[in-house]
Amino acid sequence: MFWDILRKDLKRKKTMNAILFIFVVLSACFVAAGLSNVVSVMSGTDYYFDKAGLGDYIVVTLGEENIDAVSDRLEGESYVTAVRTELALTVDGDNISLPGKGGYETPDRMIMIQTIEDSAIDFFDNNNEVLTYVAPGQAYLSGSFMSKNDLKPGDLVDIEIGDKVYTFEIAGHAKDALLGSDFMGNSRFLISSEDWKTINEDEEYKTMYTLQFSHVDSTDPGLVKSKVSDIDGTILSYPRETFKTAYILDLITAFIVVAMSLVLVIVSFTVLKFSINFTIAEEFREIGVMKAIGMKSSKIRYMYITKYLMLGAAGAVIGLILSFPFGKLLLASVSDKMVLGSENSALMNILGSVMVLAVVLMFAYHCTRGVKSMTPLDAIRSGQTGERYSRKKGVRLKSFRGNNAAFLAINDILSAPKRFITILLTFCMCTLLVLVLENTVTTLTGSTLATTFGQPSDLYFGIEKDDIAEIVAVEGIPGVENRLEELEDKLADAGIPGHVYKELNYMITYKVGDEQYGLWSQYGVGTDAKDYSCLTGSAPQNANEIAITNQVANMTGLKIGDTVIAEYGGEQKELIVTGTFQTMNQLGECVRLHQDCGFKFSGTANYFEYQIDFDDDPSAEEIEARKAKVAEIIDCDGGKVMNAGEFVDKCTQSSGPIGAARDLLLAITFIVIVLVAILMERSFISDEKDQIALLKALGFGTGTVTLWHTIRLGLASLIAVLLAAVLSLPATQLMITPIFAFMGAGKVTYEYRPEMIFGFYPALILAVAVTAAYLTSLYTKTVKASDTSNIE
Amino acid sequence: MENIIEVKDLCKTYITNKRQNHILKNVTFNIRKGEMVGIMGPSGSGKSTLLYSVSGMDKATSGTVTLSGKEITNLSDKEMAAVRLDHMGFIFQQMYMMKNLTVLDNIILPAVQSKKLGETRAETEARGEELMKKLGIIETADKDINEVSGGQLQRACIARSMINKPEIIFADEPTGALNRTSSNEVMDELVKINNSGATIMLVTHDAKVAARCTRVLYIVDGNIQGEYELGSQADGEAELKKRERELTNWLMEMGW
Repeated sequence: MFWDILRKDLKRKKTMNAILFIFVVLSACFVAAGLSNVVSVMSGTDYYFDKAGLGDYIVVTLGEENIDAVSDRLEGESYVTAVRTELALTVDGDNISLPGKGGYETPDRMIMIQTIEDSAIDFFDNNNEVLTYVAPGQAYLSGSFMSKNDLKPGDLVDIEIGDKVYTFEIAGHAKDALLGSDFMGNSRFLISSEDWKTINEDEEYKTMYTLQFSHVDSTDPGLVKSKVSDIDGTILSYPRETFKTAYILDLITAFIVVAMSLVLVIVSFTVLKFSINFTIAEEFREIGVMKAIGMKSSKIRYMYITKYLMLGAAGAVIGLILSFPFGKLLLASVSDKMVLGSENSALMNILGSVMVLAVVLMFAYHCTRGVKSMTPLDAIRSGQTGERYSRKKGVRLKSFRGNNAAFLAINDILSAPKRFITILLTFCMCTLLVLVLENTVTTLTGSTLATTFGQPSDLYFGIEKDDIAEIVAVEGIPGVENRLEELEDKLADAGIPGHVYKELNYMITYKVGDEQYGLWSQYGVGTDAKDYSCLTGSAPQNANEIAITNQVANMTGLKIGDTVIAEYGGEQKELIVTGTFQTMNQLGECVRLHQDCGFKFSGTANYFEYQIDFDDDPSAEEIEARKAKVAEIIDCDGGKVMNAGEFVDKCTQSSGPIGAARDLLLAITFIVIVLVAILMERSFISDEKDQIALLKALGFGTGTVTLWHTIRLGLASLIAVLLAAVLSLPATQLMITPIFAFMGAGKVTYEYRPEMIFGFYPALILAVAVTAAYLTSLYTKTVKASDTSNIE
Repeated sequence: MENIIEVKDLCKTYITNKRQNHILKNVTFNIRKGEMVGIMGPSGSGKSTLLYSVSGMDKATSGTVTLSGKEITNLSDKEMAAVRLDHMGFIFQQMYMMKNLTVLDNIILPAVQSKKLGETRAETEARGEELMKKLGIIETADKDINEVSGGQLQRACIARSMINKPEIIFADEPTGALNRTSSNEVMDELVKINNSGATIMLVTHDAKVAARCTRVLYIVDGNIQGEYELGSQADGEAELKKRERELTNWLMEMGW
C-alpha cells in the first residue's frame, strides 16, 4: 500500500512534483557549481602562481647594462634560495600593426617579446596545458591583445624593431601569470628561439630595450624589496603578493559569480522550502484519510520523506551533472586569463549536490512535523480548523477605487503577506545583484573615479607614434614641458585653447629608519600638487612635501608630519609627509611629489595619457564634440581621445567583464523569475481552485480571474524590484567598496543611472515576471464553474 | 404564469475511459415565475448535473434551456458568464466565499463586477447591508468569513445570490452542510425570498426542505419520473408538517 500511495501521488500531482523536481535540479546545479567556484576562486591566484612558478619577489629592469643586477645584488643572501631570470625585448605598441586589418587597439603601451624555452615561468594555452614549443615564424600572444583586436590563430602581426619589420603568425593565446591580467596592461609575444636570435641582431635596439625579469625565490620577500629598491632601470619591483592584487579585477568577476551562485542557492532553498511546505499543506485530505484508516503518523511521515528523498536524489544527480558545464560557464570570463581550479574541484561539486539532498530531507523532515497534529477531521474540514486569533488586514471594497481584479489582488497581498515572501525574497535578491553590478559598471565608466588616477580632466589622449618615452628618457622634464607647450599651441591655434599636462611616475627609493622602499612616485608636469585632493592632511604645498597613500602608510609606518629620506639618481632629499591620498595607480602603492621637488628626473618612467583642461569650461556635450577635433589637431587616433569615464575604464579594464557578469546574471535572473513565477502561480491556482470556480460560477469571466492572478504576482514583483532599486545604492556601497579599497580607492563616490536603476532593469524584470505570471494564470481556464460541485 | 426557465430534451453525457455515461436523458420541464421548484432523487440520479446544466455552469450535450425566452445553451463561455452574473443567483452546499474578504465584501462583490444596476459603490454597499439586515446577519458584515457560523455564512451566500436582483436563484443542497436549526433558518429565508417574488430552483435530498417548495420534480437515472405540486408556501407549522407527510408519501410511491 505504501508504494502504491507513493506511486499514485507522484502520478496524480505531476505538475507540483515536476516543479519541485526542477527546483531540486537547479538547486543542486547552483550549489555544486557555486561551491566548486568558491574553492577555485579562493585558491585562485595561489594555485595559478604556483602552477606558473612565479617567484616570491619579482623585479623587472630595463636596459642591457642592468642585466643580472638583481642576481648580483642578492648573491649570497641567506633568505634567497634562487634567482631565476628571463630576457625580453620591449616594443612600443605603436610599432605593432595587423596586416589586412584597419586600425587596431593596443591595450598595451609596451609589448614584451621573448622565447618560451628561456622563460623563468610557465605559460599556458586555453586548455591550461603548459606551452613548451613555438614554431619559427609563429607567436603566442598573452594578455588581452588578441581579444581586444578580435584576432584568432592564423592571423598575422607585424612588429617593427629598429628598421626591420618582422611578421608573425598567431599560434594562439597564452595565459601569463605575471603580466596577463588586464590591470598589468602588458602583453607578451612568445616566439621561437630562432626568431629571437634574429631579432637580437639589432645591437642598438637590444641595448636600449632589453628587459630582464628576475623571479626571486625567497623566505623573506620584504628583505628582498629593501635590498633591490635602488637598482637602476627598475621598472617593476613587487613581491608576489602584490601581483595577486593585479588579478583583483578578474577576481571581482569571480567573486561576483560566487555571490551570484550564493544568491541562487538561497533562492533555490527558499523555493524548495515553499514547495515542500506547500505540497505537504495540500495533503490534508490524504493525511486525514490515511489517519482515519489507521496509518501511524510516523509511517505517513516516512512516506512523504521517502517521496522527497526520491525526488531529491534524482534531482541532485542531474544537478551534479549539469553543474560542471554551468560552473565553467560562470567562470568563463575569468578563466580566459587565469588557470583556475583546485585539486578538489569535482569533490566540491559532489559535496554541493549531497548538501542539496540533505537540505531537501531536512526541509521534508521539518515540514512534515505537522502530520502528527493532523486528524481524520482535517479530511472532512478541508484542512480548516476554523480558528483565527487575529483579524486579517486588507482593503475594503467600499473604499477601493479600482476594478475587482485589482481589489482581490491587493487584498490577497495585504491579508496574507507571508504567502508572497518567496517571491519578494527571490526577485529582490536577484534584482539587487543585477543593480549592484550595474552601479559598479556605471562607476567604472564614470568620471568620479578619475581622481584616483590624478587630476580629473576634460579629455585624455595619446599621440600616434609618440616619442615621449624617448623624450622622458633623454631630455627629462624640460623635454616633456616643451611637448606640452607645443600641444597647447596647437589647440589654441585651432580655437580650443586649453591647459595640457601629463602625469609621470618615477621609482624613488625612500628610507624610513633602517628600511628602504622603492615606490612609484607621481609627478605632474604642468600641474600644481596643491590642487590634488587628499583624504587627510593637505596636498604638498612646498617643494619638500609629499603625500602618501594609506597603503604606503601601512607598509612603511609613515604618518602625517613624519620625515623621510628620498633618493633618486644619487641625490637625497628630506621630505615631509603632509597628507594621505588615494589612487588606483600601482594598486595604491604610490607617493605624490611636489612639482618643485628638485629631483633631476631622467631615464625610465611610466606615464599616463596627456590631459587637457579647456579654458572655456565646456559642457559635457561640447567635450564629446571636441574629441574628434582634438584627434585631428594632435594627429592621434580618434579612439585614443577619451573623456574622464573612458580613461578610468581604460585604466581599470574592468567594466567589460563586470558588465558581462551583469548580463549573465540578468539572464539567470530571468530564468529564476520565470521558474519561481510559474511555481508560485501554479501553487496558487491549485490552492485557490475553489475560489476560482466560485468566481466563475458567480459569473466572473476568465479574463477577470487571470487579471486577478497576474496583478497579484505583478504587484508582489513590483514591490520586490522597487525594494531592490532602493537597496541597490547602500548595497553597492557595502559590497563593492572593499574591492575598490583593495585596489587603492577606499573612498568612492558611486555613480548610478536613475533611469536604469529605477526604470530599465526593474521594468525588464517586472515585465518578465508579469508575462510568466499571465501565461501561467491562463491555466485557470481549466477550472470550470461546475467544479464548485466537486472541489475537495 | 409565464415561464422563466424552459428546459427541452436536455441531455448530458460524460465520456469516461471511452465509455459514455448518460447522466441526463432528454429532460424536459419548465419553471414558472415565482415558483420554488425542488429537485429530488437518489444519489447519482443527476440532480446536481441538472442544476449545473440548466444554470449554464456546465455545458449540456444536447437540448435547449431558455431563460426568460432567450436560449442560453448556445452562448459562449463569456456570454454565459455575463448571464449568470446579471440574471442568476447561486447558493452552494459548501459555503464558498473569497477567503480574504469580509462577509459584506463577499456579498457585494458580484454587484461591483456587474454594474447592471448602475449604482455607486456606496449604494451597492448600502443595499448589501440592507440584505444582511433582512437575513439577520448584519452584525457579521465586517467579520472574516471564518469568524462566523455555518448558518450565518449560508445566509450570507443567500444575500450574495440576491445582490444582483436575479431572475432565478439556483440552490444546490443549500442546507446540506448545516445543522437542523441553521437549516430551518436558511429555509425560512429562502421561503421569504420566494414569497417576495423570487424564482428558486433547489436541489435537495431532504424531504423537510423539499416540503418548503411549491413544486417538486423527482429524477431517477437522468429522467424526470414525476412531479408533485405542493402549491403556495405553507402557512404555519402544522400545514408544513402536513405537506412534508404528503410529499414523503408521494416520494415513497416514486420509489424513494
